[in-house]
Amino acid sequence: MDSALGIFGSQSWLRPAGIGAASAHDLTVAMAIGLGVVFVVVMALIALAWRADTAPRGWWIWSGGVIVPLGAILLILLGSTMALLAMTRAHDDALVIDVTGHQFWWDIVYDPEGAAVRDANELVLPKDRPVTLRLHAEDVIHSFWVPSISGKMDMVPGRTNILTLTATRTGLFRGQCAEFCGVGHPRMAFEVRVLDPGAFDDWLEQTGGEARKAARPDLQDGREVFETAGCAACHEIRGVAEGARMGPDLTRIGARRSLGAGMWRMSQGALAGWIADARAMKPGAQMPGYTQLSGPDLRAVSAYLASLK
Amino acid sequence: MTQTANRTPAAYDRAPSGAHDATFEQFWQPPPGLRVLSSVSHRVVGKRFLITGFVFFLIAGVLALLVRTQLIVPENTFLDSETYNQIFTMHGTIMMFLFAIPMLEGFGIYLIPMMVGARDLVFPRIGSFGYFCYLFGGIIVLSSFLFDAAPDSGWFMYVPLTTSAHTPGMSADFWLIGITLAEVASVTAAVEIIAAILCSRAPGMSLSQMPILMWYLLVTAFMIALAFPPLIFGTVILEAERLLGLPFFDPEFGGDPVLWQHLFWLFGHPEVYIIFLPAAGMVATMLPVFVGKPLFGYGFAVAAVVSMGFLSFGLWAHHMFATGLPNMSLTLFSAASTMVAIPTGVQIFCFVATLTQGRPRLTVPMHFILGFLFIFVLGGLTGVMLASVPFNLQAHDSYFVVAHLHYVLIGGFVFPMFGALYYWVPHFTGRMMSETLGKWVFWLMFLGFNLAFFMMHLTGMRGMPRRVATYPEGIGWDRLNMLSSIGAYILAAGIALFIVDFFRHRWVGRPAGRNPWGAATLEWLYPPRSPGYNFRAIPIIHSREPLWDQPELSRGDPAGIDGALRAYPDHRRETIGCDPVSGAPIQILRLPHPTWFPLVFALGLTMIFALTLAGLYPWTMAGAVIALIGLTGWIWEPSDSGVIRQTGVAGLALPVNAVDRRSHLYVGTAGALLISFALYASILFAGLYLWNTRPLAVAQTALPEAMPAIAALAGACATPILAWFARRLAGVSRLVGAALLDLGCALAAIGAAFAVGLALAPVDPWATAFGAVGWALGVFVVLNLAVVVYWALFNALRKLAGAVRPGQTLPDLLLASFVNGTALMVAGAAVLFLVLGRMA
Amino acid sequence: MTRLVIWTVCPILLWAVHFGVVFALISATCGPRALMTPEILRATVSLVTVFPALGVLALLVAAARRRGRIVADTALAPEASLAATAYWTATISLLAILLNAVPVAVLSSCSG
Repeated sequence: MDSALGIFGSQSWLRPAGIGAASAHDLTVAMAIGLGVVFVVVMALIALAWRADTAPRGWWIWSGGVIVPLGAILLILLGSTMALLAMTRAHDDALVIDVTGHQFWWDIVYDPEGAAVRDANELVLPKDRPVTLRLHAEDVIHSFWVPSISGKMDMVPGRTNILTLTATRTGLFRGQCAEFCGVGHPRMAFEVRVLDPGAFDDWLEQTGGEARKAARPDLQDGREVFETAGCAACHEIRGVAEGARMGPDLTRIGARRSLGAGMWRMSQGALAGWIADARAMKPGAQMPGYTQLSGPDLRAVSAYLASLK
Repeated sequence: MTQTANRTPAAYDRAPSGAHDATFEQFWQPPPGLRVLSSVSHRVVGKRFLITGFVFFLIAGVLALLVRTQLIVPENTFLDSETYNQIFTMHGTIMMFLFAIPMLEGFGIYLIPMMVGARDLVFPRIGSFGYFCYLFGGIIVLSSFLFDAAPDSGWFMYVPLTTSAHTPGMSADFWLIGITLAEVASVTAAVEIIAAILCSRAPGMSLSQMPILMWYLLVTAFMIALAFPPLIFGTVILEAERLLGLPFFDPEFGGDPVLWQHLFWLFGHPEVYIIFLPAAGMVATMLPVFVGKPLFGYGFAVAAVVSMGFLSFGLWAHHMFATGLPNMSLTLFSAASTMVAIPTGVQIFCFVATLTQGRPRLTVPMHFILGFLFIFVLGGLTGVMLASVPFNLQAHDSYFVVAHLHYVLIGGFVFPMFGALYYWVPHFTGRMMSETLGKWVFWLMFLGFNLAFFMMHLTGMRGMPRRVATYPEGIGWDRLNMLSSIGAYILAAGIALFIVDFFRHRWVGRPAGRNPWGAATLEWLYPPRSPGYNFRAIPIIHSREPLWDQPELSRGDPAGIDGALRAYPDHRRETIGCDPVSGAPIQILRLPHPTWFPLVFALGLTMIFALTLAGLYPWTMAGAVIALIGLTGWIWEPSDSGVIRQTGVAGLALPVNAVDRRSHLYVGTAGALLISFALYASILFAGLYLWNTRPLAVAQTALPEAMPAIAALAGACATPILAWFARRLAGVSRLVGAALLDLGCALAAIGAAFAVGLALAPVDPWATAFGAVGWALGVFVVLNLAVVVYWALFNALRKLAGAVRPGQTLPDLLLASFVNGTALMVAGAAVLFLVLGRMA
Repeated sequence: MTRLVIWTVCPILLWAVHFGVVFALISATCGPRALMTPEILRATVSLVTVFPALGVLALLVAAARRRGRIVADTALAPEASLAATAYWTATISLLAILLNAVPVAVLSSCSG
């Protein structure tokens, strides 16, 4: 089975597609050039000093040790503080999204005070509209990081951290947990899709509401398996089994591009493999393997889930 | 000088003296065979630290190679995630706690007496004790591999991942308990280094004439004394949360996971400078030798080191920029972080200016110095970048930080350390290592290092987070990781070649001869290897570069050089004690002969730790008894304090172990109090932090009882008064009365301890984290009171048993100082119990 | 010589105290208790910055004058390097104290 990770978009902070990432990118370039020059000059001075045979002067220490560093740090402080204020400025009209880190996946609720649309492991953002992410953690500390759009912010149990971001380019981007959180840490990723504002509104509209009805008999069988095999103890499918929050919401799982928090390309086969033995596909996954499901049951439930778009 | 000085008794009958037919060389001889374990000489202990530290370096290096092998290709299956997590955790843990710190302590312990003109450290037994704690702690941490319980939560041990809910089993306990035991060695070494540098310099060596390395080590030792306590407090309360279920970090009970990060980085950031400064000091020592001129800007460099020592305590939160601090705090820490660039710049430019003074010799150590300048300057500049908050929010926990920290630590510590090993190796083997192989070692290490770690800056910018056991193909990390791994192998090849060279040179290396590098400092007085007593007579110093400016030191037989303490009327090991500032001799320091007590004490302590780990709590009492026996036997020895002896210099006669506030024992006690106050301050910090950030939980915490708190305050006031009178009475030789006052002091301390307990009785430590911190404060002051009780009883017993002679009031002076400090802490705690809870 | 050691340690110790106080004041202002308003914070920080800064400045001048005297009098030469140390520690501490006050000076509230 192919890993889906490679098909995702950029994870580089050198190709910014958001306001925070753009500031960080500009600072990176400016500091790399400025401090690069400082480095070359210091090395050149060492080479000169190596050949010289003369008495040093006190002003060398003054200029190299105090004046130049002081100038550099004041410039850096000024630039950084301005960028920081611009990045973190609160917007009253911002879209609010709650993101909660779990070992090892992401629970996402759009507009929690309004429509409260729950989804998981895939973040969809409108282009050019400020978004306020309210970050929580369920178990241990995680860190929310989409390098191409914004710098990271930790998700700490018992706290709500705010990350303000604005995506400036449509497309696919990859995010990943940046705080070591246990065995599944390297496989706790997610995909970010940035849509035009109109497309985003349509998407949100379509994602809310109850799950698609099971249209064919095999899908109905699958839904029955979902209800009887114990899946609903952890997972929610709106309109079918509600209230469980231990695992990701599955109402629109078929519409996601990936499975296992940005791990595998979404397909019925991948879903079946995951249900049978999630830990084989993702070490550290909390979901137990359902090896006891018969072949037809597994086929039915995976087909049902894949149909939930 | 002191009241005892006028008395001039000939000798005290009870104080031990060496065998009277032994020669000077004989009673400085280390004990033969296995009994060498009882040796406390700094030469033996320093070498043990260096060898053990280097072995841990190799172990952690192999772990690093496993990490690089796993990451050489995407989605590698060489290691599974569990194993990978254990390996990167142990790599960081061993490198930071069991290699870097002990290694610099080893250099310090070995070099300080030789460089300042002493025959041994002033507290050799503490050095030996510290070594065993380090060794046993390290063995506990490593043994976790045998039990398949190696720590796997990162060397930073962030909660809640490390609480028992998310890391069941014993892996985190192995880390917390083993590392805490190893930390004992760090804080004891700190006290020892401070006292040795301040109190045992050769006659005439004022502060401004100390070798520059002594300044670096002095500042480092103070930093260790202040930086390790927050970590020790943190590890103890985390272990308490794991074992007892106290909710220090549990947000449901008013705790805060971020509190751990504050405590950890309050230690963790100074730690980086603790590792870097001694290495920079070694550069500042070696560089002038190869230029052939003194260090330019000695005064500037000292100012830079002192300021860095302080400034490095103001940066801890730049490891926490992404935890959600308010912008104003972010900017404060950002500004403080960039500020370090100034003293660092001053220091680097002192080195550059020194280079201009002459034609440097391109020896192997010089290669490593140039390598240090290249790598460390680059790492320092990326450090300035990381101080910028928006940049940091991207770079934090990415491979950019991995690159930065290895540039700073390998460039700032490992390269100077290898240079130092090449430079000082004749002291250990009497031979020189190969210049040709040494250059190969350097170039392999330098090129391998830069290949491995420069790439990581780019991997980080391409978004690769740290601490990932694997990574996907096709997002631009593959080739860079491949190059990093290849670089790591080349670096390892350089280190392997060093080991080959080391064993080779022991057989075929050129004999070093006297002062092989043409150095200026006193450790090169004898042809290596110097005799175990370092100096037959302790020379008088007029210059910062004695071997350059005092020709009499380089002429003739070094054993024949004029100086202090050539005669040895008591057949005891001794050295000169000096005024901390001027370096004028003020006393003769008696040094211990080989003894088993430090080992017994360390074994007892290890039993306490290991049995706690094994869950056999009642048996820890056996360890406590053994530890107490070791400690009591260690300090019981009656002394010659107060006896006047000729120094052999200009008719100067000095007391042995003078009763004086400038004495090494007073400085040592002050150092111990400094550590104690730093622990106290860490607890107060935790309490204030929770008070400020968790007001709701604070309001739910029950208040301590007022009356017992007032009683504790009264007890706290009584102890110093009693100790003061005990000291007065002992001063006028009314020993029985003084002993009774000591007993009174012990009783008052016991009373105060009970009062503290009663005051806390209504506070349920399991109910809120704030209450648990209140209990931590109570337990800590009670432990200090327990030390007072033990010490006062001990002093009383010695007086009653006749082990103390009239005028020997040093123990009373020390106890009185310690009691003052403890009383201050108890009173502070009592006032807080009365006030802070009621303010909520 | 003892005086010069004190002159070396005092300025940077003042920095440490100043840093601690500024950190505590910011934490008190920006924590959930919000013990003071940004305006009061600004006034307090100005106050606690001016005095240590002036103190360090005085030490800086004293150390500089001491260095001048040492150059004139060769008998004091052994103290020269410590006088330089005192002078440089004061310089670095002064800059560091001023830098501590920067966040309060440039930001108008906790979030900016």
